[in-house]
Amino acid sequence: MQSPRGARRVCTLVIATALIAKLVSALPALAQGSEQIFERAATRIVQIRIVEADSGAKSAIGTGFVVGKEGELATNYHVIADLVHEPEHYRAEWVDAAGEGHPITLLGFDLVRDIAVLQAERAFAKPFKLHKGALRNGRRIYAVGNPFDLGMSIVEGAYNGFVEHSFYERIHFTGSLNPGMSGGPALLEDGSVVGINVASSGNQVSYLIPVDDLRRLLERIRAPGYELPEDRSLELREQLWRHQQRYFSAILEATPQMVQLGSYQAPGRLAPFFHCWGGFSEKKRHNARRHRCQTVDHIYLSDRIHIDVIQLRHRQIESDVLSPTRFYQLYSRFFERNWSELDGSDEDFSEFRCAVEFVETGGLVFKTAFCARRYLEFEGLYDVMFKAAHLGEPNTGFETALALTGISFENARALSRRYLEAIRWSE
Amino acid sequence: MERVIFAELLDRRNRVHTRVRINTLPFRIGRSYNSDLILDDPHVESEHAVVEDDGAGGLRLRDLDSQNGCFEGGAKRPSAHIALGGDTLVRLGHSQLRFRDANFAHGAAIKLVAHTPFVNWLLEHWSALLLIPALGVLLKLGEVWRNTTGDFEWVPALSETTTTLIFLVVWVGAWSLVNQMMRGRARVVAHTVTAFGFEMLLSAITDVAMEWMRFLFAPIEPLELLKIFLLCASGSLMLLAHLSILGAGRRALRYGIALLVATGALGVMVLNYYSTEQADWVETLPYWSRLEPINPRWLTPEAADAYFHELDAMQPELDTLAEKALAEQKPGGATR
Repeated sequence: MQSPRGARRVCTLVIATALIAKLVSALPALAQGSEQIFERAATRIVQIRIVEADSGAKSAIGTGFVVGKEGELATNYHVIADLVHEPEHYRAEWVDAAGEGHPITLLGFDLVRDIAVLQAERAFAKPFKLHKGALRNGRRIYAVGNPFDLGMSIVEGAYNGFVEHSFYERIHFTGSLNPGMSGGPALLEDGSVVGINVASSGNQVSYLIPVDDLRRLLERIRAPGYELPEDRSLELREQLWRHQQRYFSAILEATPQMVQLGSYQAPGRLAPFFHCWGGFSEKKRHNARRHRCQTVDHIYLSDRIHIDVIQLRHRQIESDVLSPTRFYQLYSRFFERNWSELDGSDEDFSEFRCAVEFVETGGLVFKTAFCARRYLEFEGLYDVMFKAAHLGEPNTGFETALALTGISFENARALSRRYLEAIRWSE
Repeated sequence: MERVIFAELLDRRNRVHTRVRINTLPFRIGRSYNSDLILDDPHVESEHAVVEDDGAGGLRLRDLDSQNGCFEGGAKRPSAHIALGGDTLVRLGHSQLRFRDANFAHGAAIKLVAHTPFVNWLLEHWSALLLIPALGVLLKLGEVWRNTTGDFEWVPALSETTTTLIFLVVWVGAWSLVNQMMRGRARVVAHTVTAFGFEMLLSAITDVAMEWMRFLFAPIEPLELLKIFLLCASGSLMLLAHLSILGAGRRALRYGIALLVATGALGVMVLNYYSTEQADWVETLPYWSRLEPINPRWLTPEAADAYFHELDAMQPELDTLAEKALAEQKPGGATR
């Protein structure tokens, strides 16, 4: 919700959300409470601007709010990502009521939870109180921010618990968040913060970072001896590494749910935080069953790199009418086209390397391809595409692709192996 | 003096147009009807030149002070006297002449190439003209059918075949035209059989053979390269056949041209194959996605343990690639 290049998901429905936002703000009567909430909060919520150092032109905008007595402001990591990646080319400022910019520096950030804490040179009025404890679904909350640089606004909406099947917790907020509101607080009537505006999928489906994550980051920053390393990419690397270890250990420790596709059994939901869909298509000469699972956690690393973590796609095809050669033509085509999008350019990734082999496991022979590329800036992190197709049956086949992003080589190998070995033939 | 000589008027391709027997010398050449050889050439004088004995047993052509003169062979200036050997070409105006003694010595006859009746049929008979293209079209349709795994539709299949057909007809036309111009015979049948035979029949047969080899043995990459090789080989053989039918140049030259074309095409295709194979994006992951065989006869699959173990080698390779890419991005070598 910041730079014009923007996060993919966040920007998907910007236009739709903008229209809805207009409708919502045109509603005649916001509850009495929101006026007072806005009035009390307004002086402690500011616009955060990322400015290109040479030209002074703004490259990204977001919202920040006061979280400390000495001028600490919280916002989203994705608002200030340029400060981490290219500190020599960008600086940050907060904007006062008169539109004047004042310099701020980066204190700390949590890449995975998409939050950052900045330090202003002056102290503000009272910092926001961070809410503790659970809320009940349907609770009215108010998101504040500066959408599209139009001016500070308040959006009333409902708290709807945490997003289900997600490894990292996110609050599901029913209300319209728009670009520019990123990093703003979501408040209760008493003015305490329950979450930080982060993303929207349009149609009033928006997401907040739970305030507990901010509290943890603040604790870390305030701990004695804390200092953000001069080379911020070191911190970034460290956080990414910790994330992938946690994330993939959780998957490796979980027992995958098996799905039956024709005569094959294959791992479907690898861990509880996977979303799965299935489908069947009947064509004149062949039938195909599909099964697709993916995680919803999405990490904004930079405007060019987003880590979507895991996706897997199975396909089982069978045909009673095609001759074996024609069936294998079809099967090859399916196998060739089964890939998940791994976007990114050669500015950020090495070339792919693949290991292709015929592998036997559990009495089945597979053609497998393990293809990997490295993140140029992050040693030890890779994107991996693991593909396998069962060979040997004249009129049925099973092929699958597993896409892993931002993973260590060791984890990718362990996961691919477990995945392949879980595939079984069962009538 | 009794001596038999032949005066030959040649056409542009140096073939004899008119041959006149000379029994007595001198022998007059010109436009006038008094001449012994009458040339209907507006650039030739009424009495242009005369062929006479040179006194030493040879013949010579003497110019009779004509306006345009007489030229020997490819000479730029006219000569008043031209000594005439059996192979000397003389030009008067636009007419080419040659004079030969009756006892002019010829070399041995070129041996007639004996074709089998089948080859004769292939190269000459009108029914080959219909049968070979028809077979080619059928095989091409078969190829389309084999690649269709859904419903077979005639319209796209035929349109795909027609494209090849049109190309081949133009190709045959071009060769026949050249043949007609150079040799006076189009040899349409021979060119048609060559083009369709190599382009449609052979390529279809290669395709089917490849399909079965992959199917029976193993989906190994060298087969894909072999296919490229065969494609180039059949292309250059086709060229060689066309050139031979045309009878252009010496045999060694024809073979040289075919070989050169074959090597060039092979180089380009192999390079192209590897450059797409090595592409670095997921849409074209650098691996071979064909799936076969059904009965992996010659295939000894690896154990999963060994396969995942061998991946060890890939990590340092990727790291090297990444470092190389980083070094290229930042020539100074500074890292952030």
